[in-house]
Amino acid sequence: MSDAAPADDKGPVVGIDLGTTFSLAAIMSKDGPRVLHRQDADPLIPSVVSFLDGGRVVVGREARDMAVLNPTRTVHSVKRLMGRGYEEVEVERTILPYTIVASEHAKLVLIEIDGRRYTPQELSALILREVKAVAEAALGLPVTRAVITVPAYFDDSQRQATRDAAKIAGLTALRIVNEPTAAALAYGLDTRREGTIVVYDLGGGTFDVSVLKITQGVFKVVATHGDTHLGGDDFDRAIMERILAQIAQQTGKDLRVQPRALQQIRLSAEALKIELSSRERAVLEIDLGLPSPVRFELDRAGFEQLIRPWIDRTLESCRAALADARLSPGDVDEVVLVGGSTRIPLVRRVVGEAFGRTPHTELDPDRVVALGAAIQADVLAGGSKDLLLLDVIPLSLGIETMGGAFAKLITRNSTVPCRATEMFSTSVDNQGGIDINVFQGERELVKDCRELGRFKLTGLPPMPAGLPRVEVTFLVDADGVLTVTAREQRSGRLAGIDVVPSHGLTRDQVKSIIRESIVRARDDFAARELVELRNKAHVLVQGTRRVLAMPEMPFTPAVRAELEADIARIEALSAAGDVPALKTATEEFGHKTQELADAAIGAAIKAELNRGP
Amino acid sequence: MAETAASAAAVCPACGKTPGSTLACLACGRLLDEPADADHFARLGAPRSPHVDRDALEAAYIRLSRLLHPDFHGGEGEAALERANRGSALLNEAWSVLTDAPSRQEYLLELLDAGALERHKVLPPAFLVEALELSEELEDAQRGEDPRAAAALVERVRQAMRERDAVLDEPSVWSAGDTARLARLLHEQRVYRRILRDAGVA
Repeated sequence: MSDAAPADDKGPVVGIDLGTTFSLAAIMSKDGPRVLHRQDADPLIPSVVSFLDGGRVVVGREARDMAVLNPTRTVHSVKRLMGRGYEEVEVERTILPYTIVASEHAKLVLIEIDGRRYTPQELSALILREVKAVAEAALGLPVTRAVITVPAYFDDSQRQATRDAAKIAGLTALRIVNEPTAAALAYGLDTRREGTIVVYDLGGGTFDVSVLKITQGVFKVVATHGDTHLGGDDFDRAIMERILAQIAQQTGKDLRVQPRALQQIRLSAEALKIELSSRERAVLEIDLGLPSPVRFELDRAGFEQLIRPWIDRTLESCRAALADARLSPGDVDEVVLVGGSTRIPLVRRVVGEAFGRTPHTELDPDRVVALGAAIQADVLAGGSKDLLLLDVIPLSLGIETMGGAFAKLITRNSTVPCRATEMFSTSVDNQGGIDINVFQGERELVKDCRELGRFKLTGLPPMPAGLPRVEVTFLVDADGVLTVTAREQRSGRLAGIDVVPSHGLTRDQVKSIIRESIVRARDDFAARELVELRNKAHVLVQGTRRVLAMPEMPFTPAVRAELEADIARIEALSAAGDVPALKTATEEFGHKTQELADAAIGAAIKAELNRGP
Repeated sequence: MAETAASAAAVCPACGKTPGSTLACLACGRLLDEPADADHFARLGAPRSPHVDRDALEAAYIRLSRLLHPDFHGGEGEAALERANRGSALLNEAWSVLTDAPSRQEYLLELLDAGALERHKVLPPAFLVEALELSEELEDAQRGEDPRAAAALVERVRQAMRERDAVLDEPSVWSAGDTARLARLLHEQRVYRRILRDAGVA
């Protein structure tokens, strides 16, 4: 946690759900956690970035609306690429309409748009900046610190990538919290219940299940399991395949090669899926410029049959998590559903059957994670001390030993922070360094596990082979992120460590992205200007309202109406985020109300004098 | 059974009371610098014993988590945070070792006689032959899809484990100082656990 906030850091800490399909922020208030949004706007910000002509970049709803018109330059589901290697995203490469390329050393995934290459971290940062801007607009304060959620099953590189995205966006990620754990916080806070709860989280791109034990306000995750490749997007794709097959059959056209048509069908498939959660049957008419629109029909039974294999896989994960927790379904007191895909009736039904109880669905499954993140944010901001979250590392962590075997140092489901130490030595005389390759996974051979990074111990004093004793400490912090330190026991010297993350960015790369991002500098300036303007406008409006409410103020109805119209206009401009117009309006209003303020002071003094002793 | 190391008997520098843990004072909440000989029993304030009082252990664990967890030390600078991370990691390790009976017993043996498990890892040939036969029979029964025979063999393994557990549960066995015997029993339990695990029995 080297980038933890210094003690003097002030300001709000928000909770952010950085989702595959949408993102949102929430904050703790005295009435409990609440989601943040621009005036009258939906708090759910589509996690979509679109590059428009003329170098303009849009994020959120506007970007999502470009998905069909501008498919190859509109990036969605970037979360699926975070912290992953090129060879690992084979599935994504075939689904996603934008261009995914490998970095020079073929390990990192890059997204190529108009000849420029972006890391998933940079694109996620654009989404986070939009979330930050919304939070700042809603709070009227700069926001620099956040708790960000990730799927429980994210490994170290994916978590690190998320932290790096935050850093690029100008946010300090005070904590990375697992999504199902955040959901449990959101539910647990209301009721103060004790016992064992299972959180079933089926989102757009990932599935997670976590088993938690709550005792005296301590939320201890006892086991977690999941699949980073299972979610509502898979259901959309299954429907899409059906539609494409039908079109091919009816027209002989293969639309797979047409990104625009493909995007349109993807969106239609998603709409159809959503409709089937509330209706028994849904019909699509897709106009592809063919002589007659393509008609596609699906009933709920057909849909359920289509998605059943994925749902069965989620139930296998549930059984595995319970087995790890050494519990049976009967030991579970509560089941909580999270993620948009848990709106599907089949999911509710089979999860209810699997645990023999009706799952909780009181909180909006799209918002519950952000609300929980806000609760944790409050703890980290020094607000609440009642609550403590004890999370686990989702995958075992270890090193490569002789012959490519995987030696586990920390087993999965260990409570974090946790650490392990291991002794290393040299195999040749005067060897100056030792290579340590760190992996994460459950298999016996490193080739079947995920490589996290290569650590090179350097600066060992010259000694005969086998004599140096280097104690290496692997510490997994409360975010589930690994740090490695090493000490040579005979010399007592701290060994140097060069880290080469296998699927992430080095510290220097993150720094250079921050430095190079021109868009960032410009937008940050604009964002700050907007925040300051909004604050100024807010103060003015509040002041004027107070004056208008004073009984001793002799306003004519016409003046009153004029001022109220001005206030409405300023509030509309503030909500819209229109900097130049808001600036002009605020300045004009400022001049106008200055006279009022003088008059008000005069009136107040007069009223005070008239009141007498 | 000797009570915990001297560290637990020391007084808290802040409140003067017995801290009850080497990690932090359970009386006043002060974080402590651990003595070099601190062990997992001392960390959770439990006597060195093959048994633990799980409720007492959990109460201490929760109280200590609240004192040590990095969430509550975010604004105190780098050093405090590192200490919180280290202390929490030790606490979590202590909890996972002491709440799992085989880990706890092996850990206790190492405290009583460091290296005993490694020195006494060669098991009697008769035991190994029997274990191997048992394992092969179980595999055959599972492959031949004879669930009744498989269940009977699993029960035989469990019975053998229960017999050893009964011995390991005796405090007198531990105080007798026969660490070779204890190591052998613990290794035999490991063999049985592996047989069950390989057979896919939880």
